[in-house]
Amino acid sequence: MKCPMESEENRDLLLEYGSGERGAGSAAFERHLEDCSACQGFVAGRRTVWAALDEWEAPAISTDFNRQLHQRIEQEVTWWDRLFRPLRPMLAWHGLPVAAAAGLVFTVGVMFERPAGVAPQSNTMRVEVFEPEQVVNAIEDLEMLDKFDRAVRADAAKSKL
Amino acid sequence: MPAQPDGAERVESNMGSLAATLDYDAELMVRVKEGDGASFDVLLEKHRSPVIHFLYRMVQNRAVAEELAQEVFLRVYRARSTYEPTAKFTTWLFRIATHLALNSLRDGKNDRRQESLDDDSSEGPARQVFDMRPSVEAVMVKETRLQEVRRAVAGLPEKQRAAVLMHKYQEMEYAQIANVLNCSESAVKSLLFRAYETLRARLAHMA
Repeated sequence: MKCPMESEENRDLLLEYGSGERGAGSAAFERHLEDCSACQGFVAGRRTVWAALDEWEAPAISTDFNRQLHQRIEQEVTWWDRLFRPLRPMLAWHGLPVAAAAGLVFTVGVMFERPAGVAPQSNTMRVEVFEPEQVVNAIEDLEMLDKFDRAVRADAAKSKL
Repeated sequence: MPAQPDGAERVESNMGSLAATLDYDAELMVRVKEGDGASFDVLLEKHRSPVIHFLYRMVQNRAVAEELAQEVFLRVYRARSTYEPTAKFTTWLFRIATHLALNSLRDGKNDRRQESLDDDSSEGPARQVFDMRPSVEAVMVKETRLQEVRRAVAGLPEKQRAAVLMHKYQEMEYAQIANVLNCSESAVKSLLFRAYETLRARLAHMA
């Protein structure tokens, strides 16, 4: 066996042995270790390092870590995402049936709107455009008619008395 | 760390463990992609501590580590729409974390690091030691040893440091560390060998 300190070939055995791991190839390495002071030094030193690193515990995590993260995420979410958020799981899992149902409703709606056999009257659409003044006048006319109607009803009631 | 037999067997076991663990985290991330926020919370809960602890040991400052960890998870969330489960989730996660940690170290964002190394009594579980009522001397000895360990790790070149921390504390396989650091498996072994040699020399007196 080539000495792992001198060649990279069995270096992982050296690394693993220092961590206290035993795998295939360990037996051969152990035999080599008995006679190799360089490897003995590495393994002993590696165990010391391993034990020293074990003593180094990480600190406790801030209690509001999650809250801060969610706050940052929330700042990045667009109004569009917020609007459709409640529908997302439904769309994700039932997207196809929902789309199919929507398509069916649309098709049925079109069929009822235009029964079979009745041809459309014209291919062009007639659009009536009103000026703002026309609309105001119409509303004023309606209000006047309403007042007139009330006055007539009041006169009729007085005449009955 | 699980026992690793020879090269071929380890590759096979890596593939097996990859297939076994790839699915759960990756599946959760796919759900996040579909808009399931609860799955993101599950991933956060599961990986929060390992990521923060890794970052803490990299930059050796709790505030900076948490700030970087926030950025890691924010990036994961941002990337949800383009996520493809082509690799192990933790590989991707630690690649982001390592990238941010190395950038932070290079930018000198954690200039307070040295300060925290000199006076780190406010951080960490050292506070818990008082519950067991050890002598003042014992506390001081432990604190000195910890400072030596922290200094020894901080003195390692960045990539060696990242490799050692992933190997020792995250118990990652060489192949996964190689994926995170974007190098070959033999390069990782070489990095680890040199790192442990350096640490051995610096911490020899602690035996």
